Amino acid sequence: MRINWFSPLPPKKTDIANYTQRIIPYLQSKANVTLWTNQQEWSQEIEKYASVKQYKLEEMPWFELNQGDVNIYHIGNNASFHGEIWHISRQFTGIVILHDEKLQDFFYMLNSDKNNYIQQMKDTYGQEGGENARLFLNGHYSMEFMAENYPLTPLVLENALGVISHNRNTYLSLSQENQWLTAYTPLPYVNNEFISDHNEQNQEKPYKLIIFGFIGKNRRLDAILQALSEFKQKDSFHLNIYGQLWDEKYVKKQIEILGLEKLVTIHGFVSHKELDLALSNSHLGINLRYPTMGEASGSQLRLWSHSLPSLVTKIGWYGNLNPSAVAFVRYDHEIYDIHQHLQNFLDNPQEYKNKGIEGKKILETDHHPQLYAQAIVDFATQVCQYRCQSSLNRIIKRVSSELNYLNPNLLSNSSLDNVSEAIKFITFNQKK
Amino acid sequence: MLEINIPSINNREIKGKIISEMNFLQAQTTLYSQENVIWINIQEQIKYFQGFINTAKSRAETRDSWPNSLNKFPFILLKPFGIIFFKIFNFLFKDQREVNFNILSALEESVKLNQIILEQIKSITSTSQEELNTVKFISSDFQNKYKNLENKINNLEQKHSQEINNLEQKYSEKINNLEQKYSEKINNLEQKHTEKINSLEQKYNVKTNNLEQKQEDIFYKTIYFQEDLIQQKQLINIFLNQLSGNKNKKVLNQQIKKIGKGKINYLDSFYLALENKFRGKREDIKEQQKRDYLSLLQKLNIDSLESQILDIGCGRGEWLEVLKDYKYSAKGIDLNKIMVSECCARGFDVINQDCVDYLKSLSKESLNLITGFHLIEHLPFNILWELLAESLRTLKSGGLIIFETPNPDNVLVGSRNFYIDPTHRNPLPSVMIKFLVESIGFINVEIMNLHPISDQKIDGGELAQRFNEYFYCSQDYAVIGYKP
Amino acid sequence: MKIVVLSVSAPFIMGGAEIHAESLVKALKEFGYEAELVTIPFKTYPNQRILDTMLMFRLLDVTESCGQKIDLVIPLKFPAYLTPHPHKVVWLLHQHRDAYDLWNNPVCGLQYNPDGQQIRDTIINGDNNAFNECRKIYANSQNVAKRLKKFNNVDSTPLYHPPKNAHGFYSHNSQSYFFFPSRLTKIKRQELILEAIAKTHHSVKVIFAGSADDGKYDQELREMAEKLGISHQAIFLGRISEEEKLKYYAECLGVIYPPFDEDYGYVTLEGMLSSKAVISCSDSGGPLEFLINQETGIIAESNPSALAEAMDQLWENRNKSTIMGKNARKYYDSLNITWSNVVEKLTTI
Repeated sequence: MRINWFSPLPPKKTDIANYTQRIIPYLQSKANVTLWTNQQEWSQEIEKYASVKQYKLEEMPWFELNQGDVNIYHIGNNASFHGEIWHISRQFTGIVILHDEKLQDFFYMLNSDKNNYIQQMKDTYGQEGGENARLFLNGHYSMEFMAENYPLTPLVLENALGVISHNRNTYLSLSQENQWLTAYTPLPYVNNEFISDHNEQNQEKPYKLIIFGFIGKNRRLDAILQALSEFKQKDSFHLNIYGQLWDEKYVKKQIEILGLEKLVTIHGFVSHKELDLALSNSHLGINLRYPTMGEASGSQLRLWSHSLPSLVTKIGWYGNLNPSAVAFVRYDHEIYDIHQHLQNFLDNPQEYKNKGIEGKKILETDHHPQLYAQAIVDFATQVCQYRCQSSLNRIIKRVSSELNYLNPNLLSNSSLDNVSEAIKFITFNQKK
Repeated sequence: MLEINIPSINNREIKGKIISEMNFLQAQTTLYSQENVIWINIQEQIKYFQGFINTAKSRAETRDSWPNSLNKFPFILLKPFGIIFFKIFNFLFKDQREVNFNILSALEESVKLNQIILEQIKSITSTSQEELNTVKFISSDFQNKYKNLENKINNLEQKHSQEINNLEQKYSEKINNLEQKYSEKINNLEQKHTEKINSLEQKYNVKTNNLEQKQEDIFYKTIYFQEDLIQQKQLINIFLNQLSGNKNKKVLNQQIKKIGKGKINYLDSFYLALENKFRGKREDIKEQQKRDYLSLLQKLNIDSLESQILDIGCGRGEWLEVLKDYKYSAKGIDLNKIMVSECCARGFDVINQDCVDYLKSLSKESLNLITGFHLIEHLPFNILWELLAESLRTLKSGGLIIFETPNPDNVLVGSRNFYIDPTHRNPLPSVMIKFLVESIGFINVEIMNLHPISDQKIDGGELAQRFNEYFYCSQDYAVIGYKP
Repeated sequence: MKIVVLSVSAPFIMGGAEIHAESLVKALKEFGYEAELVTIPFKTYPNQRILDTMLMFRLLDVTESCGQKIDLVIPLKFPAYLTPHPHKVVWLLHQHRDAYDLWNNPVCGLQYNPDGQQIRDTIINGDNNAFNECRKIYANSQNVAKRLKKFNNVDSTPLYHPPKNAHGFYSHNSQSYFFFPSRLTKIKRQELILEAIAKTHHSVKVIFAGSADDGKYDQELREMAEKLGISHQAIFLGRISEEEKLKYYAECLGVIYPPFDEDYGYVTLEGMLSSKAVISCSDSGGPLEFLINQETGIIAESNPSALAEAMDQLWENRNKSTIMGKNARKYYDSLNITWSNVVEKLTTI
């Protein structure tokens, strides 16, 4: 099995690049993977496992790509990383691995000429979609509203052969559409570099809270800081913030206003090793997210790899996590729930420690990259067999346009019997 | 773990898809045909225009054959000549053809441009229209929201004023109730009080009458006792006179002398009574002295336990008590035996001796502070001089003297009050005393004016002011001086 | 019995396949059947056209005509065999090779498109389903049968047929030239021969007959010959008449036919009918089924040097060439390549 893998590569600042880095060694043992990128530079580490080839969108080497068995495209919400990949996927049908379900932001950012964006909305959601897109551009609707109601997922999957999601709910809802081969498999994670020994962790106060990654507004930092400042025994805790903040000045100001200078430290972006060290010395992770774009969280898996208990918002992918491995926070009662957990943590730290241990177990059974690699290969094999069926849509379009030309009123069901039989004959595998 | 779902598509679905696709296409065509008539007309015009260009183009081509209508006999004979003819013809019109060609090309380009512009305009129009609709939508949405807010505010205001009215009513009711209760209670209390007061007054009046009665009795008794004492003194005097005329003088003389000396002291008790009546209460004096002199005392910075302080004419010992209160050690000296014994009884270190003699008995520079309150007005001038000289000698360097005496600047004091004490000799003007003390050799001599009668001043203009200055100014002054 | 022969055509292009179809119909008629050739023009670009034509054939109804039942349908090529019919006997000339053996080959036009894989899989799927429906499957040659088995796992029987006008071929004394009749196109590898000519010791002469598919290729070949300096040795006749062709065959020293993986190769048979030796390549496919190396012709490696050697060999040893030619004819006769055989096989169910 020869796979062409389209994904952002390290050192790009996206978890998907890290995810590719993690999974490639395991995948390479089961299939022949070639990595394709439009980046000018990529980490040398990854070249140990797979050859990396550059492409230019205007001059795609179709011949070479056709020599593989299947193309796998990684699509996430960030248009700067995934925009070109999507364009390729529209032309060359393959497997799309959907890292985010709600892709409003993707299309919004993809089109520098917003009229294109409006057109896309019209194409996917009709006149109403176009109108609402305009309203959004004029500031009447929020991004969250648009993402909830017009996720534009079908547009992303326009020419896809199959879709893989790491979020079971997404998988189920996409399967309903009955348009592509769909699959669900848990997000893989492995951290071979750092094995912390949690038993020797110090149990002294102040207990260290940790939040890390690409911290945007939906990571609920405002609520966390607020909750911490109002908590009576706040001096028992210390919050460490690692990673990139969406607005560092604003956060620093908030910390000042709330009087939390002694209780919160902003570390910024650090190396993997340093972050692992920090995680191994922490007591409780905070991984809240609202609203959610439907993504499975690599950060959550990283927390589990350090047997860390964590606070998560009970929504989306997080809502389906095993409650014995995480501590839930309701998105409409954030501060209250955070206080509850902090208090419980002080009263009964063992309970939370157990959650972390449970999480690590789940990580090792469900999220092992070995399983994931096998899943990909299995799915790819299925997809190859299914590929002839994918011509269905284009044949149907052709037929429709011709029938439309002849006589649009010729719409009785029986008159289409022959045609549909013929189409089925061509595209479907009759031998079962 | 891997879950896969394979879409199942049967004929029905395929047909469904075809139908929906056709519907979609139809919708598009209807959309297209609904385009503004204007565009369609313009499009037609352009085609028409293009038609003209095409015709012109074909006409502009080189001619090389006769028109068909001339293809019959006899013109056919002229055919060979025709070729030459046409060559010349074409040559002659070559420039024209070139010009035509260029113009036609330009026109064609222009038509194409028009087409492009038309398309642009169409798209811009539709975009603008949609944008406009959007903005209208947003604006009407805002208007709605605004109206809603207005309504809400109105409702809130209404509710608010209603509630306030309700509350006001309740409160005024409550207040009225409370007022009623209150006034009832007050009336009750007043009644009770007046009853009590009346009964108390009665009791008081009864008691007062009783006390007055007793006082009168005591007064008369006192008079009786005084009379009695006087009589007894007379008798004793007669007795003593008789005795002094006797012959057993030696024994008696000694005893008489003793008693005779004691004669001088019979005024002592009187003096004590006088003091008690006119000087004032003990506590008041102490307080006044504290106010007047404590700061001076503290400025001296002397060690309280080892202080050498002498109070001349200590009298009832008020100043000694003050010093004791502030843990200073002090001695007192007084000529009045009864005063001395009273002081000793209070625990003060007091001797009964002449002050000048005593001072002369002390070594030089042995005292920190020498005081004398209402003393110097009792002394003859030369004794006063000696007293001051001896004080200077016995004071340590930096030591202090304080002598308080009534102030004759006050007319009432100088003319009347001074003489209440019959042992006062004459008022001593402060300017004179200051001069005297300085002459003796003291430095930093000051006069402190004390105890004005401020509560009896009169109001008025200049006259009142002058009057106050002379009649209600300070009643006493103290002279202080330091040993260099 | 009413028989419809179903195939595709490319208007104004006359190649082997077109001749084949006409000949079959003629043969069927000669044997007393009512036969008609039905073709639909087939373009392979843009890719959507492939799917369109597949659909077109599938939608055809050749079960009856004006109330008269059509008893047998004989599809010859892709995608003709997709047409449904209860009595379908395929005589496969070749499938759409781009999807099969030419996949991953630089000449594969399909692979240069982003939807290449999708079309390919659909073609394979359609083919599989179609072959399933057939009563019997015959292949044009062993080569085709092998391919069918390899890619579609379908068993078929090779069925040879004579080239057009087989009786017309005759033999004369050999003149000093080789004859290479064929459409001028890359897959026939005229270029290879040009390079080989440049390497021959003797100044061998090769006459090329046939026109270019795209109208331009012949110019390219001429230019190539000039560059190689063999313009006087490589003669391009363009399109020639039947008579001329027979003559050239009859009088040539030997026939050169080195196509890449050809399905059948009339030229080989025509050469054999004309009692001439045939030079072909080891990867030429069809021709190899009729050639016996050094007996009826020469099978060379597909490089200019080997071909030059083969040409030199025949050029030098005229005698041997003539003997080889006679052998070729004998061998041909022994193979029973006749239309009666074909018709019999096809119409017997």
